[in-house]
Amino acid sequence: MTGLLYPWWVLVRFWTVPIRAESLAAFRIALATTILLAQFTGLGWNMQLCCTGDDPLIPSSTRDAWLARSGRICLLRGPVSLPLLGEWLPDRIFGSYFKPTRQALENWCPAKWAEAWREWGERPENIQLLFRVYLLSLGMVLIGLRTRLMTLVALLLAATFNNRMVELLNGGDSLFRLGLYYLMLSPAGATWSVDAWLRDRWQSTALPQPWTRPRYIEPWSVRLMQIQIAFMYLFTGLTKLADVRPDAQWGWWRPRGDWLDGNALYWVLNDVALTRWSFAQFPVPLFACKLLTWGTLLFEIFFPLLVLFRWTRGMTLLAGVALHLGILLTMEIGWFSQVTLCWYLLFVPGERLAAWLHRMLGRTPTAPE
Amino acid sequence: MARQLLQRVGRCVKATIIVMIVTWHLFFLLIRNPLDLWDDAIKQWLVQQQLWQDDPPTPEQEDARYNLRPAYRFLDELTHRYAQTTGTEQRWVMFTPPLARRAPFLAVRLEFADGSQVVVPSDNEPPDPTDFLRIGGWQIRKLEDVIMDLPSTRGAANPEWPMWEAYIRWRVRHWKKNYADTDREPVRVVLLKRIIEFPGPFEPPNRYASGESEELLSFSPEGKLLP
Repeated sequence: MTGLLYPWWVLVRFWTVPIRAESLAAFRIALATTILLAQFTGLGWNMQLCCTGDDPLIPSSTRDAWLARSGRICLLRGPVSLPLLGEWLPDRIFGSYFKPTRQALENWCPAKWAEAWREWGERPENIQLLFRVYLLSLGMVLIGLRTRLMTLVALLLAATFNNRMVELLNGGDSLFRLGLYYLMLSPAGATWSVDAWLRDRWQSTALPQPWTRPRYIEPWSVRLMQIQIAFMYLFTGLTKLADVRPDAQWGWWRPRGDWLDGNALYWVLNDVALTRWSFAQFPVPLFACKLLTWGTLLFEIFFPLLVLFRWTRGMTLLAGVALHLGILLTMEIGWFSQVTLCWYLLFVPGERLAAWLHRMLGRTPTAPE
Repeated sequence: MARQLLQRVGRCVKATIIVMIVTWHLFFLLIRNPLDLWDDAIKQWLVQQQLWQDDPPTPEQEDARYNLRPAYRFLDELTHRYAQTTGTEQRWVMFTPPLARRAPFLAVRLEFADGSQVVVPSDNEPPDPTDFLRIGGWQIRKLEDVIMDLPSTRGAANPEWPMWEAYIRWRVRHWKKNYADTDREPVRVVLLKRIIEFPGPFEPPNRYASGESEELLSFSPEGKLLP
């Protein structure tokens, strides 16, 4: 295919040509493992202090007004913002349009039941029970048993606990939820899962084992996830590049600030509220700070472009791994780096991941279906 | 024959649903990301281009050629609500400029009936900013950042205010647990913001300036706000 139609042909192939399912499966396994570990060291660790203790730091009553205002979901606080059960089609969006229809599609849960639901969600034993269900659902996502349903359950409960203790969260938690959301849309249990193993067992015993058998999926869900992570880098880079405020000479978008003058990393490494150790213990030369600052800026802004082409993709991903390992090593900001690295698996071809696995297991891959 | 037709219809329906899902998500990402970061700036630009009218319009908005406000508001609210409900918030703002030149830490000063007092720093505040190792504790730091950012409405009128009261009680409990052998009872608890300033790029790397301390609010040990 050449000529004017070539870009169209590339675009159609990008969205429609089936891809190997291993990348998505590896992302599922890595993400579920990371979220599980994060819960044990994060929200689970602070649950007693902030949520279920005798005098919790975040009393449950402080959530209700905020949940209703922001349209967030927390199953511990009743049907607030839940589709059909609570108010979820507000006037703020739709004005006076379709008012009778909207009213018919809202608040199906009677007030008395909603109150009973809220009271149920205040009891510590119920919070702990729901948290165990959350961990169990993540375990099911990890092994790929009833994958889509369990991802939906994990997503709902992630939102529940994140919104119950929202003051304790950072960008890593947003990436956890985003990952679960996209996994729910995708055929995440197509391979390397109990679902795939059971499916193969029922269909035919003559077929090779699911761990060695190639599987193909429609690519659109993986493409959406790749675009999501590209947007994350692009926009975080753009906000670093320019200050958006009135400027007599440049109008609204004037490139300036710590990232352009190269000192950003120096200030980040000096932030004694965030760093693992003092800059005074391991000072980094200023020229190195400047190079790393500009390198990070270029990486973030050009990530969507660089990752698009096969010949630059590998180096870009390696640079990203180095960046996030650097953040993990020097900054105490929770699980942000680890969860971001999980998303990188979506850019690694499934064939390569399968080959790595076969090498580890000492098996030879079978021919494609 | 009927089965083949049904299969074809099924494939068409599935393809249509997938196209709708993909289109919606691309639209959502394209709208939500810029609005999350530059909402005010975009609005100001639209006002400058005479494409925005508030309700009621300000004098400089009265000559607007078109009014994009209703469409803008609709898209903003729709995508915002979708993000909040599904947990797909965007707003990627890690380490945006201007970067901090100083780090605030929350502390409490316990004042006793005998006139003595003690300042209890946050667990996250390094005792020596030139020599420390930090592992964990970032979630309580995030909570303390929220507590430090005092709301304009305080007391019963603010449904989130019990968080401030609970924090005070926790700090008192924590101090009592660590000093179980003392018979002193605090009568007043003062919330403090303690600042550590970082050395500039051309200063010696160990020149952190600590000590500045700002009184935020006073509470009873039970967490009630004092005048």
